[in-house]
Amino acid sequence: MFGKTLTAGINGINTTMIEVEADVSQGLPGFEITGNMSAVGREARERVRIALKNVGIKLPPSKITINLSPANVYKSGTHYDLAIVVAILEAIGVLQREQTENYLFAGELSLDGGINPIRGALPLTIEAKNGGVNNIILPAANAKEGAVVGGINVIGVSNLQECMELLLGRRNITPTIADCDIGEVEYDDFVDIKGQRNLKRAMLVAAAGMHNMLIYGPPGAGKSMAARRMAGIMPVMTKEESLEVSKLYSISGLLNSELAYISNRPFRSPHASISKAAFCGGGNPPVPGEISLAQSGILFMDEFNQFSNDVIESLRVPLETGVARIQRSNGSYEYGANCLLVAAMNPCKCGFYPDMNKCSCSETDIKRHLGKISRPILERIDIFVNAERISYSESQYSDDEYNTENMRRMVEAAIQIQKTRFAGTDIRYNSGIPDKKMDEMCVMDNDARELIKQVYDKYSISLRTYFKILKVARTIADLDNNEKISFANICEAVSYKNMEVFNA
Amino acid sequence: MHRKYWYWINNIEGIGNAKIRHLLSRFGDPETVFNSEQRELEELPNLNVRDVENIFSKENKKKILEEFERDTEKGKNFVFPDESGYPEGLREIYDKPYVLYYRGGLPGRKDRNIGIVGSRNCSFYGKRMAEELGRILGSRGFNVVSGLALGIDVEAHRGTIMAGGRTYAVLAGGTDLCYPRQNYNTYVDILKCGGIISEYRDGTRTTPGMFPLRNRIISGLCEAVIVVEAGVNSGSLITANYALEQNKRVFAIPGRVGDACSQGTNNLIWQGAEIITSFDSFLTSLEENNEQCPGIGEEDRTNIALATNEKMLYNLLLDFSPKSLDTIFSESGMLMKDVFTGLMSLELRGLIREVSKNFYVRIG
Repeated sequence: MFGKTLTAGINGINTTMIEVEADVSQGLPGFEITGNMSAVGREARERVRIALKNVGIKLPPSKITINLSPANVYKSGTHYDLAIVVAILEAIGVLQREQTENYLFAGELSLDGGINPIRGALPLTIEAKNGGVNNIILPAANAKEGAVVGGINVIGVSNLQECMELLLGRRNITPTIADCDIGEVEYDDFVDIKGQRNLKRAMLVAAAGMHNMLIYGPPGAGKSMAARRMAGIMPVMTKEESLEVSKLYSISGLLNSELAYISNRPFRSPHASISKAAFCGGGNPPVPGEISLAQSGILFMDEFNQFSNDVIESLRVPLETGVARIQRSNGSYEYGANCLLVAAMNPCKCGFYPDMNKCSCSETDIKRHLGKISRPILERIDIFVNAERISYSESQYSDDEYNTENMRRMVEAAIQIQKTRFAGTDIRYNSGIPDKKMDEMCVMDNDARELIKQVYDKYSISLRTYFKILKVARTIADLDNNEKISFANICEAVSYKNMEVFNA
Repeated sequence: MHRKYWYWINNIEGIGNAKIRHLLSRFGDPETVFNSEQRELEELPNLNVRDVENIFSKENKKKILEEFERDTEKGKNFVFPDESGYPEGLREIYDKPYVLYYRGGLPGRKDRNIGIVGSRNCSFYGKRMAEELGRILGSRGFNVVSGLALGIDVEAHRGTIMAGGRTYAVLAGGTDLCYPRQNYNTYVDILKCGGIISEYRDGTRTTPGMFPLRNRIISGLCEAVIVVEAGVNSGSLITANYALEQNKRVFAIPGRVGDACSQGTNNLIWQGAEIITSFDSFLTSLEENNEQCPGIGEEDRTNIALATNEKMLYNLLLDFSPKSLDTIFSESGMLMKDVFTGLMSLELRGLIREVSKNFYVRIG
């Protein structure tokens, strides 16, 4: 009277194979689940018992023990239900061991025997595939999500009955096939933005070297409109990147049968009232926050200085390491947070500074307004740019050269150059060049070297700012296909400097 | 007569400048007031019962005289109208302060003092003008007097200090309290190259009503007052009014019509204030009766060797108001790359400055 099935556990973004063992034996009738399971998981007892009753299977009045091994791994989530119920069916002889052997089960039971959608179907399917299992049974609503992985039969079932009949061989369900085309992406076009040449150019540079940027500008200047289009000029996501992002969305429960897969680069724009937990990830069990949902894409923070200090400061480590880590007593969870930060804020409270005819803010107000962003955060931002409210004549001007198509091609070319440069290292973009490699990777011609020396002395900038200018200049040079950084490259890079640092 | 009587009359509770004036016009000098009978004081129409009590009280007298001893021992500086150190210009005004507390120093008898005043909320052009005026006046041996406020005031002080001139700040509160505290660095500099002046003793906190009164001292100290930028209701206009009442010259820097920062100064010009159209003519009109002091002449900017691109950008930024990068792009019609390069070299040569993110203004 023993049954055994396979499922997988999710811990943060990591998955592990879990074996579910069921034993039905003589003794006082009871239902016990062991193996370090969370409270919500242990509720499976009631769901399993009643669901079985409602599909017409009577449990014998015996002692039922379920063990999930490895027992030392903490298990949370509700997708264990299906594996548990199949293991019991095996133990009481309804199913045979051979019939369930090559399957991995994941699904939440409802009391009438239906199978409800779960979170994390995608990483579970990947784990099944990597673990050498040939078939995975998922709730019908999650089947498409799992099917994206490919190389494994994904079978969607909508109730327990179906599942049993499938395993007994009485019914044939065709495996779900991913019907979304991965190469296909659609973004709003940059050509819609009139004027704003400075901003567009800065965004091009930012995207080409993955430089975080901060946009100053009055309300209505088109900051968010431009930011929304920025994901479109980044290179199309590779399948690996796309899977990585989809996994994060999957465990957050954001995927469904309509949106089974993320192929567009994410654009996340959290509201300024967001809590720290929602921003970097939190909850129990911890789910990814906005910063992780922006993985490989754009994290747009409008009204940057209106975010709570906690939230802004929590950007420090993720911006540096590309990982959001949540530490709990039962373990630490890591979610990717490799995103491009695009922050935007007004230059002052009323938004008109430096037009002193309209601006009603005092010097102190302006200092306080800009001063809310701490230095460590400013130092992680490479590009500072101003977006002006555009005049009528500008609004009639449209720069055809800077459309999304062209810009993406330029970015892709620049990133290709970076790939060659960084081959054999773990650096991916110019923004990540470590200080010790600066001399080797940011080679300047003579004019440029002379200029940067003058800038260094005139503004008495810090070494960190100096490196920042060089990195941005490197990206501009890559866009121009210059091997060495030129005079003009430095000039442009300096125009993206941070005023605060220079005027200090 | 001993200074302690002057000190006493200035520090009686409830007795301000106006009441002191009445007392002095009746009794002649502070010592006579000190020794007067209660009956004589009661006869004065402007004093109420409490004032008489405060003046006559033996305890008060003793307390204030003790304070005088303490302040003198500590080396605190104050000067009274009948003393030679008291500024000549102030002596003649109607509502003159009966004491001046100061740190650093006071303007000398032969010194020529020029007041530079203006709004806290001002344009970059205004700031630049204030600084330039301070620099020019400072380098030609004029003292620059202002009020250490944010905006125009502090720029005028800074300009003078940079030129190595002497500058004096008249504060509304006590001289030991730097108000506003953002200007602490300038406050310290002024102590070294001039002085901090106030009609209130140390420790007096500033209240809004004190600012207009302080302005009469600024204009009183000076032979001329320049209003650099002032809105319609700016406090600097009060200074200009005092200056007119005190028979001092009033200069104003013209602004553009419709510019909120200059509306007050433009009105002043319309009302007959002297207009400053160039620093040279302004200096000439100041120095009419004086021999020309050798100073730093204005550099001839017209013949600076600039490349074509740079010259074009430089001319675009002609009107001293900050221009955004986008405006420069569209007005110049130049390639973005050329604009970046041109602005960089202009900035390095100190001809333009980036005053706010991507906003450039001409400074040379």
